[in-house]
Amino acid sequence: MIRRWLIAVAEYLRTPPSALPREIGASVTEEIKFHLHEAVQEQVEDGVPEAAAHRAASARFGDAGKVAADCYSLAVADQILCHRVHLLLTAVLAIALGAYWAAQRPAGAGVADRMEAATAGTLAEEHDAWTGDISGQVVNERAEPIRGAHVLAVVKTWPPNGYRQQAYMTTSGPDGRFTIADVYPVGRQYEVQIATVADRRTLQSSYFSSEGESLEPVVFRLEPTPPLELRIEGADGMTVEGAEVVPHRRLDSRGQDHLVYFQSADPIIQRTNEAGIVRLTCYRPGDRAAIYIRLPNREWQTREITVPPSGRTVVLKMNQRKDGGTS
Amino acid sequence: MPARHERAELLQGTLDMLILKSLASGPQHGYGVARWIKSTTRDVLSVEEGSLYPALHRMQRRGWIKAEWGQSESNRRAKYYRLTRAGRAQLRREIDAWERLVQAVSLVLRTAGGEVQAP
Repeated sequence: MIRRWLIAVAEYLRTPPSALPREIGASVTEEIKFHLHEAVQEQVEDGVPEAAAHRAASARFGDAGKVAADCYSLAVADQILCHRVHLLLTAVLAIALGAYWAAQRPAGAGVADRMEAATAGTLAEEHDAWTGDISGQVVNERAEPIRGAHVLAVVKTWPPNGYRQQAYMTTSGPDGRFTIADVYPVGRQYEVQIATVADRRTLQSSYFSSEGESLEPVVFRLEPTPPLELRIEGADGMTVEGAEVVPHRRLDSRGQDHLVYFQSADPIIQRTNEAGIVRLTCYRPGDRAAIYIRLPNREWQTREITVPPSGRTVVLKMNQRKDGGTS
Repeated sequence: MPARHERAELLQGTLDMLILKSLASGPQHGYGVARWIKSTTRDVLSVEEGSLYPALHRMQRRGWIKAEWGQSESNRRAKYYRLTRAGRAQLRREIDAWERLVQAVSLVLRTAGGEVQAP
């Protein structure tokens, strides 16, 4: 039985579908013609007139048309069955491939598309659960509100199979209060870094690490500071106009470290004037300061200094190579 | 020799057995099978010759026989059928079944009593 089907399948695969009906029809017809010819010849050899022999042979044979049709049906039955199975398997395969493609569509795209889709999906899913607010107040040493202080926050989260770090910026209102709404997932692990920068006030920052609870309002008490004047020079000793300067770190005299994440620093970037001078107002004398500086069309560089007493200008000589470098 | 009007109709299901038997001694074309049945039964069995061909094609599908085109005695192209191993096994089964049937019918006919009187 299995062998017969293997032969039938082999026959089906070997025979071009268009040639099949013609071949089988011709074969059956030739076979019947041979039979009738032999029958007539036998009668003729026995002395029967040819016309009578034809009639007798046809009568004994029966309906040749029906016989041919029956033979044809039997001969092509396997082929028809194979063809139907072939069509069915092709249709099933096409449907299966279509379903697989639809289910795996992001996987079918490029790696970047896949990552983008996955990230978008993750972020959208995460965002739905992000109901945590960052809030607080910025005050001076007398607990009076400071209006217009920059509040720079960076939120770190760990969505499934990933890590995300997102920056948020706002300024404090007339009452010194600020709120950045819906920026972390309550009930899940997250970390928040908040820095405040106000005119003639110390840079201060706080870092919070949470396993799920909401963040309590944060109060930043900023001390008054004198301005720190920096003059930016190139390696050739010429002052540089238009250099970008960002306060990055302040290590105060008590050893407390305050940071501004570069990712959130856009609102506090300052530029040197025509004399190459910029005044930073977030450091106190005696602080250790780390400062990001970028000459026009160059890379960012870092300089660390100890903040001198008020009224002195600090000169920073910068590398002017394209790739920046540090010193 | 029986007269032509005394021909017997072929019993249902016996055509396959006769065709297989006709091929047991070697390959034959359809006309040869018909002639063999006619001569072997001394013209008793009436077989509509055309009915051989659907039977031959059906048996070919079942794998009992195989067909090949060859040259006939009259030097014409003819399709020759030959028995396969499965065909020989089938022939043995059909002969066994037929012999059991004949014995059973004979037992019935030899039972005493109820004889039919000749008209």
